[in-house]
Amino acid sequence: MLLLLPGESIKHTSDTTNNKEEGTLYFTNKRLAWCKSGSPTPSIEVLHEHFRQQQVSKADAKKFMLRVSAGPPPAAGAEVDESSLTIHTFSWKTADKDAAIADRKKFVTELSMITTKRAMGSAGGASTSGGQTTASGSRAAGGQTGETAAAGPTAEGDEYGKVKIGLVPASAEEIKLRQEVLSKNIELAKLHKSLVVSGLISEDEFWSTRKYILETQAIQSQLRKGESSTWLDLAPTTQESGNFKYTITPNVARRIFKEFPQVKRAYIENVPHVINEKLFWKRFVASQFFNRGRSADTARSSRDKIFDKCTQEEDALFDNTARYDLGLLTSLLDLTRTEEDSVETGNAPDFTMRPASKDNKLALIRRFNRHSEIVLQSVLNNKRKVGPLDSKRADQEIEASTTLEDLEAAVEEKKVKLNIQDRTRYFTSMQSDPSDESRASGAQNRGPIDPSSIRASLQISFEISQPVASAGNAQKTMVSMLDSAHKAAMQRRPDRIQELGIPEDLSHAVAECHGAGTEMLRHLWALLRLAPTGDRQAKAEKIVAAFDGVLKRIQETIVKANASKSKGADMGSMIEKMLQPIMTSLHAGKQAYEQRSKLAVAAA
Amino acid sequence: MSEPLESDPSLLVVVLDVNASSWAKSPLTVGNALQQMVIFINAYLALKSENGLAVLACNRRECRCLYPPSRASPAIERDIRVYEQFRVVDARVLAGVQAMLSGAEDIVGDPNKGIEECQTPMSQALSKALCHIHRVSESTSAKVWPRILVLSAADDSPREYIALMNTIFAAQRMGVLIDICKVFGRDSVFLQQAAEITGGNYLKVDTAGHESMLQTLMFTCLADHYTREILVSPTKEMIDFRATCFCHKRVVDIGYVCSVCLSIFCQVAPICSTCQTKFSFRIVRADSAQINGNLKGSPRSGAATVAMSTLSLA
Repeated sequence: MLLLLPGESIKHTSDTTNNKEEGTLYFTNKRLAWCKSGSPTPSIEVLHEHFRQQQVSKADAKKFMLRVSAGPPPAAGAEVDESSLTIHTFSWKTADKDAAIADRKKFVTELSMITTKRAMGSAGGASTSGGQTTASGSRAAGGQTGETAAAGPTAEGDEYGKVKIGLVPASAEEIKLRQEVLSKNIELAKLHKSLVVSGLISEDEFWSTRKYILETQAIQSQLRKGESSTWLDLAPTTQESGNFKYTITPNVARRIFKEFPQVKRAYIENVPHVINEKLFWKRFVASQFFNRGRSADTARSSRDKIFDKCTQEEDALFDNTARYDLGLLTSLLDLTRTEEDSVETGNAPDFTMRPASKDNKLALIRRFNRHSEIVLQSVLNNKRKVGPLDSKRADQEIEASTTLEDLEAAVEEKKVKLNIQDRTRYFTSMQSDPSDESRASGAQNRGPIDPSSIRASLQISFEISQPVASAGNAQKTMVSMLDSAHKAAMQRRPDRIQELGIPEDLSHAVAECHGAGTEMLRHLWALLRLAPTGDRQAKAEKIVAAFDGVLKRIQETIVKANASKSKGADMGSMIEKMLQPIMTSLHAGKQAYEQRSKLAVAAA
Repeated sequence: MSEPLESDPSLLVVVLDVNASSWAKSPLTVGNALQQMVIFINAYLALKSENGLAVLACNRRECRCLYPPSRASPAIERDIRVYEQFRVVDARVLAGVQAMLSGAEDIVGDPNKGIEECQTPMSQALSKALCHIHRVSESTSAKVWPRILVLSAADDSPREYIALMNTIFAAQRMGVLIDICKVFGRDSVFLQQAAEITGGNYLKVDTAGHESMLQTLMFTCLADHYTREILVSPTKEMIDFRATCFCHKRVVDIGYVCSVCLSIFCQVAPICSTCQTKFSFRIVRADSAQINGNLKGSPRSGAATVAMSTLSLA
């Protein structure tokens, strides 16, 4: 078996040979390792970061081989140096061809996952790096250019995606998660400080009861923020000098690229070797391309070689009718289909959807369309599958969307009759325990009762005009009803504790006392329940000793409450009442511990 | 639905449970209970002159409408000592209950003879009440706020569980409050749910301990929709929605539910004893192993574990 690193877990194993020696190939969440038969330490080890390439032999080859090349991760931007790579070849035994291929495939998929993950990580970085430029309308103002770091939530999400919470010892990811949780939750951090940092319980013990917090945190960190659907509106701010100033941050730039792919192409072509970034954006906001949709400015803006080309490109793209095969356009979306509709029967031709008659609106309409497309696509998250559009599929689609379900012949559903053996028994479980009744009504039910006596008890004889002889004890009824009404009223006030008007520092202190006390008690009782060992005894002793600290803290809080007589309310006794339960519990825990130590001593 | 106003009249349907076998065991005699109920009804009528009233009585066999009377019923002689409106209602209710009790010839002397003798099919009465409420609210243009008061003495009848739950949900949709006044015996699980779901009160009067039923009714059930928004009712704060298992009648927090007939068991069985369905454990296990993969200490078997509280509500 392979000796594992901390936090490591094996995903796949396979018997392979390397350099004509037999051994086992392991794939774990951290590395690829190969051990000689019988050896626990790997003779070949490729960490995921070091993995570069893989090659496999053909499916019909005699030997089933996997070649893995590995090397230190290249510096950012540098090309992979082929000569520095080390190459390992593993071959599978050929006894069972299919099994060997399937086995190898597991490794191949895992390794290719590493590559794709890495590619995604660098792509995320590249897309966020953009320049930050501040340019002013037609005259330049002060600006600066700076690269932003590519730390995105994407990278983090992948990191926590596979965290196994609750491993001992904790994986590096889990420790990072814990730190994150503590930094977000001040109350928990305080508790952590008083319990773990002071050495009462270990880190792992502390988190073992709070796994769900870590799990929530892990899931939250995985959530990705979707595309913003807001309309990108570059509005200039007017400066004192009367100039306009546009602020283009990397974020804004990224969105401009997204909305106008032509600009992105122009940026890549021209920046920085033709013009610098600042000038690029300056010319962009001054260009006709940018100002097309903006009323009066259009005429005033100057011609610009770079951005005029963008306009041309865009026009060319949309004028190109060959973009879509109109013959295969879904008839349901084809507006020309309604043209032949007869007016007489009430189906007037559609006059709403016409191509823009004025060119100045065209750019805006295109932008709207493009924007809608982006927003929709980000929601679909590339899950939409667009198959090749052929005439057969188009026909099928029309058929599917024009079928009226009501006209379809009903298909008999295959049913099996529910065969319940005894229906009375079925619902008796809803009743309360029948033994209650015999207890409530006592022994009189046992024997047969004289029917005539029953009949006598059912006689109704009273005069409506006469007062009722006895209606039970009204006093007693009211006491019990008011009591339960009082309880219900208290429960309906969720902020009834706030109503007491306890100062914030005091309520914090109370919460802390309760938190620390409860946590200690939980560990103490857990220890007491297990068979005593020297180690546990020592630990329990430590915890019980720490009780004194909490009790002292409680006393301090009460004294403090006594000192702060606010609004005439007797804060001291109120706080004492609030802390009473935890004090009682602590004493009970201490007593149980002492009793047990005595027993242990007696036994010894 | 609009907010109730102080001036809006109410419509109260009183459902009297006159199961002779149950009342025979009651520490409070049926005569006394009826007298107290009549006082309550009079108080209700006196509260607002527009208030509507209907009284239904049901036993194990039938459900009769005592008030308003059918046209065929004989006229009642006048009595100058009693306010006319009270007298008509009171006399009808009294006569009706007497007729129903004397009609029930087969009073069971032997209590061990039949459990079902002590059960009243409450769903019949409740659906009749809902029909009446519907008819009244359709025939008047003014807004009337309906509620039902059930004076319950008998036990739950498991046979009519589904029918009863359906009427309860119908009442909930119609905005009808259902108040339950249980005068003796063990708590009715079904009626507790009726009160809980419709927003009424479930009142248990300890008549054996000489608690006053009249006092309870006056204090809690006299309030109309408008007043109830202001008042805090002395209702039970916790209602036990847990079910008991079919096999041992134990109350279970987490049980195993047959996916076919929804029977509840406290232990896994390969064959459902209620509907004889055979479970194929292998398939179920593989699925549940995936679902529970990240949970430590997954359940012993693959049968779906369902929290009973949700089950019994649905």
